Amino acid sequence: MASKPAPSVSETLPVTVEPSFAAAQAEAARQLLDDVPRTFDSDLVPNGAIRKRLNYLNDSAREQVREIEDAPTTLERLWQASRARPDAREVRATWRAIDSDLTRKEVREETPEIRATTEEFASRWSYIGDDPVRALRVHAEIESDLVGARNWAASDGRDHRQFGDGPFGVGEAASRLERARVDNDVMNHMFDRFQHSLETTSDLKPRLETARRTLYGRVQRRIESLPDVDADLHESPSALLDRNVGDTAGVWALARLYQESERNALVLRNADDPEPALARRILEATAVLVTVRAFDRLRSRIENGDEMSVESAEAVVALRENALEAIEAARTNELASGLVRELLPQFARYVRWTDEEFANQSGAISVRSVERDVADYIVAAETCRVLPAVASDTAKVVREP
Amino acid sequence: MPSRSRRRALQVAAGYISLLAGCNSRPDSSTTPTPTARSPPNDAVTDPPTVNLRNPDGSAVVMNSDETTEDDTESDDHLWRHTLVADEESADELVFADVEGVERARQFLVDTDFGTETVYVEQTELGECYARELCWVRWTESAIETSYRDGYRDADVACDTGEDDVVALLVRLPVALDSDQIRRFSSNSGSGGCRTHTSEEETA
Repeated sequence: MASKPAPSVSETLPVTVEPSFAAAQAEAARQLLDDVPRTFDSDLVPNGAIRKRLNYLNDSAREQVREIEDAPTTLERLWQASRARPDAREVRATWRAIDSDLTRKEVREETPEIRATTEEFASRWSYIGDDPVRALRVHAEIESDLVGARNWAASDGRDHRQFGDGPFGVGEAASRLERARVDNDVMNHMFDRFQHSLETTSDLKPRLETARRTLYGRVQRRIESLPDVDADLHESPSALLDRNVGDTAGVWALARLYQESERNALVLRNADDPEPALARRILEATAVLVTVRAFDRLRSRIENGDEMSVESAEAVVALRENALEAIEAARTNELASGLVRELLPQFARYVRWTDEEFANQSGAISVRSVERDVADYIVAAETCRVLPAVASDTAKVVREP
Repeated sequence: MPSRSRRRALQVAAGYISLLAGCNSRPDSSTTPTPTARSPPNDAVTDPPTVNLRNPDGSAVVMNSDETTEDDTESDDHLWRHTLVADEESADELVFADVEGVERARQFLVDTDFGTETVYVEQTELGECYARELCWVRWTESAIETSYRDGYRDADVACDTGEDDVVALLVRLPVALDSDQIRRFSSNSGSGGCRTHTSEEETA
């Protein structure tokens, strides 16, 4: 079905990651596996179930490390190393629990030092910057890392211990702490590089707070403008329309956009989300505005006669092509390009999901099922088409004096 | 790069808003794993006296004297048995397979005061490489419910993933129950850690 591969929309950040930093992270992941056997046999691990899982974890971690070199950019090598390090640490700690009686308690003894590093960073970090949009993206990343570091090192309560005190419990605890270390390393590097790049700097927190209030107000108004629906949209997506056009792919896409908008607006109102979240919330609000605007646009289109029904394989291919064109148009647009690049991967990946869905299907597939599955091609197309305009609106709000 | 299943990806999409800054290529740094263990019900007992037995040949560990091992293996693809021992006579009728710990089990029965206590015996098949731990038990005059945590046996226990043992648990309940009144037995197990009524998040 897929004539061209699903687009891999590279993530970007307006901070130049030092190649040597990414390389050091990769090396750290590799070194964690240095003392770990390539394969565990019954002499090393007599328990067959533990051996099977440990070999799986070992293979997976080595694959994660191997894939670092495949990443096309320095940033993506860093992200891949960030994934590989906790996995490698988990294998190493699990094996040491078996081979040399490492305990979870011993692993957790490193927690205070990790927490101290996190809080040391938190005390020196603030919402500084020059261009507010650039700063928004950088600080959103840092916020995420800071919350992540605190979460991973915060507790090791029984709720989180899937494997108890056994070797996999030791590995699990070690992996959690390695995630915290990774977040510490990344946010320190990002902030240092960002600071270093600034010619002038000011405190942008008041401006970002104002922008967040403005965007929340917009989200509130747009969500209230969505139609009230009593029906179960999983069963009757056409309840969103004034006329009955049947459950076409376009109607399923409409339902998906409606549900995404409502659900994500709800998340936005969640007061329990850990702070700091100021910059993240601005990006989140922008994402909600994208889905709401895409919903409005698609609904008008269907109400005006384009039912977007899938009646042939060619129609499916055309929908996919349309999505790819929309992604490419968003990627190459010059309107608020930084924010678009920030948000585009979220929407572009609907194409990959749908490709995977089709790749995993076999045998007879009902027309209704196809209509529902290809809806995500439409979701990708519609969101990517409106993304530049919505991102531009957010950029204006953030830059308003 | 391993692709996420669609289901997983949709779960991420539902929660993507809280992960937005990290986008989809970063580890999910601001999330924490989903808890797997649930708290015991208020009327449950979390640490009653118990004895665990294990039969590596895959047949029942404990039987009443009128049962045979052959009956058991022929009729039960997935063995799950429960016996309520409410008096000394019933205890004397129990027949144990020749497995490690039988003497301890017999002594456990002898030490039970059937005027105020009851022994509940539950046995089931379990993978050879796994161990089962009782998290809690609760009862009424007509029902008994147990909850277990399944985990791995020690790494140096030689075992195969395709083989099953039968494990039996003898648990002493601090109540004299009437075995004729017990009509419902239920049990569940999970991989999460056992929780107690008072367990809170541990900190380092």
